[in-house]
Amino acid sequence: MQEAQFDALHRTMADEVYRFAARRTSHATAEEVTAEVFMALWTGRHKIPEPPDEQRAWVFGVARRQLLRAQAAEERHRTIGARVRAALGVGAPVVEEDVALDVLETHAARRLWDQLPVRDQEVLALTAWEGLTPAQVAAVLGVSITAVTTRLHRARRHLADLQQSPHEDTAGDRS
Amino acid sequence: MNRRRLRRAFGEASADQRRAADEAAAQARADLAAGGFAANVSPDPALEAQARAVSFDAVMRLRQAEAEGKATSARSAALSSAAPRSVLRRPVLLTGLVAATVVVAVVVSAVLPGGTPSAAAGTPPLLTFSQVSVSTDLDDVEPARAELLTLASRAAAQPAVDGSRGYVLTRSEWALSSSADASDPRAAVVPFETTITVTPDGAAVRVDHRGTPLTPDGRGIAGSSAPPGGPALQTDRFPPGYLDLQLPASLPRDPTALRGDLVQRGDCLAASAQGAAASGGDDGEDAVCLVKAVTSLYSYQLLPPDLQAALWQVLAAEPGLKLAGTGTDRAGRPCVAVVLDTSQGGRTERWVLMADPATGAFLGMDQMLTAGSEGGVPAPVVLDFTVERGARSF
Repeated sequence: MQEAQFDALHRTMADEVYRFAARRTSHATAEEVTAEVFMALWTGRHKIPEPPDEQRAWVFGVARRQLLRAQAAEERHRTIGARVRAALGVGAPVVEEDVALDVLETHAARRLWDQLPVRDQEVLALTAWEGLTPAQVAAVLGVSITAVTTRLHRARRHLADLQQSPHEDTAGDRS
Repeated sequence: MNRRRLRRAFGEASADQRRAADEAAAQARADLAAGGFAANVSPDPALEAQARAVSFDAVMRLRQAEAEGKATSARSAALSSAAPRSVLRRPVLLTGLVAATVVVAVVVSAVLPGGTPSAAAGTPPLLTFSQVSVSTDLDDVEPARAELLTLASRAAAQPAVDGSRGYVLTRSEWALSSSADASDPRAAVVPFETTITVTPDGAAVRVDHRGTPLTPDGRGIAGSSAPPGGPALQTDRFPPGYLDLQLPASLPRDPTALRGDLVQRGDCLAASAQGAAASGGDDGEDAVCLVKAVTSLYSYQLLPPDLQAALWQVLAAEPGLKLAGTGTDRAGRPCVAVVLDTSQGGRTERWVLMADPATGAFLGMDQMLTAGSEGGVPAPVVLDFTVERGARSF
């Protein structure tokens, strides 16, 4: 990728990357993650695919990895709760507790969201919040497109279950 | 991300599969919108603009540093010059990088008793083992399969424990990025001592104390689980239901089934439930994921011996895990060590799992960076260690 193309990509995607991170972590961390993402993209610019569709998936893939790293660094700072630790244990960035309040409109929604397994949260959020296509989600998560379909179905069923029995904690990966 | 991942996602699905996926995505978006789970807040435009500016600035500095031929330090240069804006906030990614230029000048390569090279005195010396040193290429080392199966049989012979009535876990931990003194070569390495008390309702209290400094050989952690004295540094309380105390009992003991379960829970990128061989090894991602899954189980759960045995059996099937030999852990206990090289997100790390050869008990893990630098300290450097000091049921 040429410098001018990189600059164009940077301009187009900077806000999206920041929003992706800011919906999951603090502003300060999101800002750092955004800088890290574009530095990593610059360093690996020869590997960035040509088609815009794939570029977007590529950038979110890098963003996910950098966020995971940042949250793992937070873990090392010992400032996060067991839930984030558990999420990191399964290798997925998580919506941090303080942030969930801002992202989700109501306490009820936040409470239900917290009960969803992390991998369900992730596929739903990438699809609905980030507006990625199934192929892009598949690329970001490193799975096939049919696996994304399955995960979306499972996540929706999980959410529906939770909505029907809001007092039952069915999250399986808390520990 | 790599090309193979992209091809798999973009190239391999049929039109029907794509239609089904699009439909599932549309339904998910509708469900989330209807349930009040739509992302409510767009971040503050001012903060967004600030983040954009910081990222442009960082990339510009990176380019400048590259153009001036400082390729190796370009990244730190870009980050450290972006950092002063944010002095008031908790350092996360930038930890230590601000001080990088100072550190490079003062890092000493000390040789400690026993011949252990230390990257910097503010970090724990690397532990040494009988068969593998930090410079050993693990491709030349035999898999740890036999040793892991022996650990499994030792663990299986231990008396049963039942954590369902609650338990206490004690461990010591240290992490480079939480250590303010890591870049100070005169600083002692002081681990945290953590006590996690879990009650039958799944509530937990985690109390952290400042531990005693490591001895110059990187050890000196009290092997006993006696509670540390002095005031707590931090106390975290987790509500009832936070931990599932039935989980250890409910996990399968059959290694194949257990592997499948761990892979599923761990959301391993490329892992298949059939085993590492069936998935073509895939850059060791399976092994990394499984080790994470296993160690995160030990972090908060009291694991019965038959489950410990099954976990060692699962790891025994991973060819990426190599035998490092015998040694002494940071609490001075004799141990057998297995190692795994990982490279994720461009970082090259080596993880060392230590176990008691007599009882098969998991004793802890060291994670070190084997290439590049972290926080201004060049590799090889210990990033993180945990020492399991005790696990007992009520």
